[in-house]
Amino acid sequence: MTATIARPEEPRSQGGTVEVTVIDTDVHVEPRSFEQIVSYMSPPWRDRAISDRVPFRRPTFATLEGGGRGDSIPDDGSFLGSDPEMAGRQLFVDDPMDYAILLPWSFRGFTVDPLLDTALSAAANDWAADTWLSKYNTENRYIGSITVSVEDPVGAAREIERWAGDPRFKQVAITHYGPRPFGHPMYAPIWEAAARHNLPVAIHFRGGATQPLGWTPTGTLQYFVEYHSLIAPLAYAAHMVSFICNGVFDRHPNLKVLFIEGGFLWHQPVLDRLERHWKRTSHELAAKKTPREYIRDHFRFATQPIEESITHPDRIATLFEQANAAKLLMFSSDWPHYDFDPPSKALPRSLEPEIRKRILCENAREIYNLPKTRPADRFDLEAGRK
Amino acid sequence: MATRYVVGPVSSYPPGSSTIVYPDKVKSGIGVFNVGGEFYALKNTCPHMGGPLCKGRVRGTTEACAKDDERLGIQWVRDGEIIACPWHHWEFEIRTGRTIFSSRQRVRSYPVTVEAPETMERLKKGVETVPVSVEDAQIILEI
Repeated sequence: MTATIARPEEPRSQGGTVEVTVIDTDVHVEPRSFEQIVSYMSPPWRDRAISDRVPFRRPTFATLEGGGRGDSIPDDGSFLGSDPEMAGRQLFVDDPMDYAILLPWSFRGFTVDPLLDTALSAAANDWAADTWLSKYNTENRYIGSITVSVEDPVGAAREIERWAGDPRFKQVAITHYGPRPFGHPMYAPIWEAAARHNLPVAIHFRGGATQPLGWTPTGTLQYFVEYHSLIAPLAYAAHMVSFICNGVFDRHPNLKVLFIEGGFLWHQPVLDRLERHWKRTSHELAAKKTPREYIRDHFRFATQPIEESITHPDRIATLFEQANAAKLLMFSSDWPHYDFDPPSKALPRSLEPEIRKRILCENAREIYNLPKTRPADRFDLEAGRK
Repeated sequence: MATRYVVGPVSSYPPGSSTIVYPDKVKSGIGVFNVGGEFYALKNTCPHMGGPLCKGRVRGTTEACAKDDERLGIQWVRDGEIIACPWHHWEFEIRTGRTIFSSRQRVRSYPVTVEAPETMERLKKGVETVPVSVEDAQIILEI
């Protein structure tokens, strides 16, 4: 299945250690082909003409130049993000990071059948465990996500249990869209399973037959720029408020929810409005803390696509600091997609060095419980980090 | 002190074509573009986040327009005059190195000349010349 990719048999020890300074919380890797994922499915799913029912490529919003980083598309025509050598070079050598949190991109919520979604999620997890989290992970730089289907909460909880305790997987990954916002009791099994095993839950927006990319509270969109500006923040705002108001964190004080690729600064005005209404009209809730405290204790945001100011680049750092970026924000690159943000250039230049350090590394290190140093490897040697 | 760098023969780069060269002085590379018969050179480093700008696609862009019936439409304009960075898709005007949206960001550009073979010979000897012929001419970059 994966024999075409040559990798060193044993990690070549370079000796010494490297300080962990950059953790990338949003890296998308893929199989070489859709058939590779199907090969990890068991009957009856594998034998039910899966490829016909689950189109790997489906009509969706697209940019003029395609969704891939122009210099990350494999020469052999295989899927973007499917070449481990290219990934290793671009992530750990060119503008080096220490760890990459993997969010496999292709297999969440494609179908109208929740059980098939769970079967596909399981196959994606088995595939990841077998490839990017073992064969391709000789240097131990990749960290896995347990992909689950939000539309099948019981199946999702079972899938979390199947991997919980496996050190290769350090979070649960879900999509932005569900039949109801995520505070609804129907999702309780997912949050219970994640909290039981201390696994953060990362939400990344995604489309599929039952997870329309372009729905807003008032109808569908036409253009990519509308979709990429609105969809994730709109959905994340709804989930953020729903999680808080439905007491999910009162039931699970250790649960962390991570909003990936949906922006950061928007949450400030949403929170301000919630806080004001909270004082007057939150009596029907059993919540024990204020919205600001729930956000501080339970939510984190990934940077990419980072908020920028073309006209006043010097002022944006102040906005980050006011929005508690020092605690809430974690670096992400979105490799290998077109809007990849490199760690050395992404953050506002005028950020305080201590806050920069927290965003690039410390916040994610605490969420994923990663070490402060790691063994040096061949990528460090190439990157001149040793 | 500017260094002259020979990109290659004009005949190899017809209008619409481009190449990236990697002179010692500019290790990240310089893109050389033939736009409508004129040559332009831009640094292969995007001023936004440092992406390899010149590996992007040369194309046009869309622009809003009023149609005959006064309804809003879009049209494709400036085909072959714009390069889009392969990271984030910021669009730059190849002739000037400026973003096509309003900003102070600009990619570094370099002077390009086309020199006849006899000029090349004299340049090598340090003699000042004027170009006389474009037969077998070479594209020269000043960096």
